[in-house]
Amino acid sequence: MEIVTAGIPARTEKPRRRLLMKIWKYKWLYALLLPALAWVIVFDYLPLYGISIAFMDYNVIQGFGASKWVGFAHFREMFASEMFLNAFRNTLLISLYKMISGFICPILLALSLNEIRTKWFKKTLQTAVYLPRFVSWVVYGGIITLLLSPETGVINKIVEWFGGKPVYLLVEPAYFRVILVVTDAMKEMGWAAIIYLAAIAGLNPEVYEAAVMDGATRFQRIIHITLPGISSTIIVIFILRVGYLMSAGLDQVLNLYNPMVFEVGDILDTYIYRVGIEQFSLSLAAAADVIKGIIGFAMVLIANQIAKRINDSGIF
Amino acid sequence: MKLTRGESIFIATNYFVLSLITLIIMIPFWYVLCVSVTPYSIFSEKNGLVLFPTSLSFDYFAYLLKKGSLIYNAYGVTIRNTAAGVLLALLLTAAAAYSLAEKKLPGRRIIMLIFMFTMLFKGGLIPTYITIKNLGLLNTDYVLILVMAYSAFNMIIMKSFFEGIPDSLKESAAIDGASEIRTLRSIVLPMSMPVIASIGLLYMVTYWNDFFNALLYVTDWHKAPVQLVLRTIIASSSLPPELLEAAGRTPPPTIGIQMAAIVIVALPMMVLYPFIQKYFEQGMLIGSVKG
Repeated sequence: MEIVTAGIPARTEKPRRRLLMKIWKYKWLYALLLPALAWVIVFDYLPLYGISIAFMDYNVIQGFGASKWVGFAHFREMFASEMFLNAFRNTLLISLYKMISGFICPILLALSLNEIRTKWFKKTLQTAVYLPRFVSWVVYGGIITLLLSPETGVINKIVEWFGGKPVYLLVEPAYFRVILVVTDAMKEMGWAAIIYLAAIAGLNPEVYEAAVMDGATRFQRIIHITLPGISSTIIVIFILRVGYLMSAGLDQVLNLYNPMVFEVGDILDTYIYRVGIEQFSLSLAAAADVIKGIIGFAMVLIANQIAKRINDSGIF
Repeated sequence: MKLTRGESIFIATNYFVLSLITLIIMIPFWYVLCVSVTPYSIFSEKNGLVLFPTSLSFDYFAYLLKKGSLIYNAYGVTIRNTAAGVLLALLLTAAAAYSLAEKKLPGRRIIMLIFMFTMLFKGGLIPTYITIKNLGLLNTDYVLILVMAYSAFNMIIMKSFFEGIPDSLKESAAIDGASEIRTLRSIVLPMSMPVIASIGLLYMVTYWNDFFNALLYVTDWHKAPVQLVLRTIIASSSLPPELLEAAGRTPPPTIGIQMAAIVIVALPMMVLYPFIQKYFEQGMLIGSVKG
């Protein structure tokens, strides 16, 4: 074929035409891409342009055109604000606590569920522990608030029973983070255990049989076979969580916190919501968004690099 | 097989601890249900400790569900958003996933990058809010349907499923003269029902449970989904005037109202869930294969 057309301009045109032909061949597949592409452009990429308001005194009524550029003024104001620094600190702390509990609890749960041999019992337990994941934080937050209230809360009744003094736990700074971590675990750990249960189910049963022959106890089998067997799953899940470091649980905190515990419970997301939407300081809140986005971006990249180094399976 | 003493203790402890955890997780739900059907006199007499309903009363429900109550409207909004949203989300997600699963697609890498970048870096809450506002979407009937209609995570799960469908199947259809669309409709879709069900249900939970997008983008009570109404009932000790309008008499004690509202909002999902649980598990597993 090359010989026939040698020396004619077609030689340079041909690859391009071939590419066009190839693209034409896949025209339907491109058409299928369009709706999602349009969505991503409108709801993900247009907001990237909206970031510019962090560097403006954004005028809500007149829009971008009439707003004055102010450079990094909002960032300076933000870093001088005790409320922002407090939210920043809380985000890191709460995220870290949740990372630890939200990481360990599901693994332990999966390991013990796996030791249950009575099928119906296991199934019932699973249904029950997955359940809270299917209610919103509005519902769950409402339930928690009822349980912890001083007059009617069951927790306080139990405290009184043992001779303690009832306290309104949700307004006590000393307890608020504990409440966040515990309720997060109660709501999410069942669901998070599914992946580990699947990984355990995929392990080779012959290894277990051999271990039984050698006289390994159940506990030894868990430590020496099951845990090493699911270690790669554990690593991937942990790294995924590191990527979410800057999100400490907006829905949860927003439904549980109150001004009495801002000091320990206000996180970046709730700070941004309050400052931007409730107090209408859009530019200042957008500056906080930018900081959150940049750090989050860095965390995902770092996590992904680590994942690649450990087992060659980066997420991106 | 004979168990050693140590193993028996291990097993018994395991059963006990797991049952305890399950009880701790379930009791709050049970407690709310009990409070919502217990008359206030008994509730306060027992000092709030009603772990078993000794006498039933549906006063709170009657109050919330009076004719013309805002709850009906809010429920309608939620059902409409969920139905339309799941449909739209599945269309967007499945179409993009199917397309990107084709490895020979020219420009696939660049298109993937466009889709994936937004998982790494997002504009954030305020820039997104400004965008939605400037597009004139605030307080429209369809804003909530639109903003949740695509999730990169779900797209990736679907894509890895489609990648698992052998090429030979599609090729033999092409040889028989079937168009891309025809292949998709008569071969790929029927094979993909499990993953479509799983992802569809994940979207369903997202739409049903969303309150934050509603809090941001909807301020008109008649366009508010039920989660937002519930949040107002719980967060403020007073009830929204739009809700009181229909009731027309002094409301019963707030705590009972709050608990009854929680039951009204959460019950459908909780009753439905055990029946569809296996699809959710399936979805998680398909996702974790790639994970």
